[in-house]
Amino acid sequence: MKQLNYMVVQHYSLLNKLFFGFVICIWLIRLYNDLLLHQLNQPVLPYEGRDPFYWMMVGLQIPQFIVGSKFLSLAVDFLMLTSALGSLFFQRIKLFNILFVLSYFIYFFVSNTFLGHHFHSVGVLFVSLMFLFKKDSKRFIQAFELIRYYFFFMLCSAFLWKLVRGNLWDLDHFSNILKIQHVHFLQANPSHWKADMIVHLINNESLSFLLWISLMVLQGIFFIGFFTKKYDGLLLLSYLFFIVGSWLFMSILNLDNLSWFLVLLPFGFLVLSKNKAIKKRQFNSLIQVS
Amino acid sequence: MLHILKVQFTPFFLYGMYSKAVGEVDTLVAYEIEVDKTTYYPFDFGREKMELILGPLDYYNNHLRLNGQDPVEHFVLTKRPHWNESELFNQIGEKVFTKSEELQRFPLWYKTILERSLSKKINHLIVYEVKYTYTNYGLKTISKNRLIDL
Repeated sequence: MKQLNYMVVQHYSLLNKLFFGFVICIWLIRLYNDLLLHQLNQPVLPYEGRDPFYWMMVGLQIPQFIVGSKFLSLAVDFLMLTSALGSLFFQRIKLFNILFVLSYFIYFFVSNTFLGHHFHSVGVLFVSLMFLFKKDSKRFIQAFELIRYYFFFMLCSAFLWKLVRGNLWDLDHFSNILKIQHVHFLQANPSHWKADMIVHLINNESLSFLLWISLMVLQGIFFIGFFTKKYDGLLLLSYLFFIVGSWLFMSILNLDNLSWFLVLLPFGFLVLSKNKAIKKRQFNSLIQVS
Repeated sequence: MLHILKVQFTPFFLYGMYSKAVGEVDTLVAYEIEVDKTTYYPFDFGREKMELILGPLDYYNNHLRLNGQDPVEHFVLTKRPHWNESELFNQIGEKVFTKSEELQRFPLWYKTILERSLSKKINHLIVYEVKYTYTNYGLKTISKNRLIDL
């Protein structure tokens, strides 16, 4: 385990570059799609949902105050970009990371308040927390482990909810979800190849049920992650399948959640291959001696 | 702990990921946006931008279905009808739930968002709520209801 943690620390710079490079890409995509706070044009209908956090924020008029001011909303967007750039190029200055976490959190809850839906995509938010700590500090490894476990908890909890809610015995479950999920796609693109595929899946309940079970298995597999890092390569592959499956069958591609890949980079595999290489070298030297 | 209590507190959510039973789906709701006699569907704006085009509109429509009442307020009062008499709940509600002036300002705001997305000035905007039923070969329109006319 110590060796593995050493491996993660060794790759701190790579992790940092991958993460903040990706965050800047997300920022640009949001800018292109008019999804940054200053582009929301001072929205008027806050959505509090069934979340006490949003009740508090909306009650205190905080999101309304931020988007109500062109200057303030622009400042949050600008701070998010500059702090990400600062974190990318000046890894040792932790002030940039602190500012990024703060500005991103503000962006996250304010945009969720005015998009009429509370998105649960906390990938960027959680992964960014580990970079608050310095490369050589113990806390960095602890944060990395904690975030990794939270990610596994997320997927395993989704698996358990499906079990508890009896998805295994509900043959039409996925077929019905597909109808609701794709109504806008079918409305706009009735003759697209993907529309044919969706209609086929909706009509073929056994096939869609099998797909749903496969998706459940892909989530359940993450229980392994609580016990060992040896199979992180396999988990990375499972998450890749999960993402591709969600995109293909559910039209869900949540960019923020792609950052979870970072905690799955197969460091365990790297350690194993390093150990193998060391053993091979020792074996070869033994042969030469004898 | 929050999972056991079935409570979400940002950034800690319940990750059910579509596990909730859906039941038989009879009616599906979607929207049609008519801009100066040209029809657009929310999906035409692309996957990312659809968040902005669809989410707030759907939330606005949920209010209209309840004659202007906040859907969350409606949900809470359905579960706990006696809270209607609670002074504390009413005080919180005044601060948190949607006010009628916010609802009135929505169509105009929505128009500015569409103008920005389409990069053109809109003279006449009509937004329809379209109800569909699913047949074996796709969607079949049941009804079309005008939500916004500006």
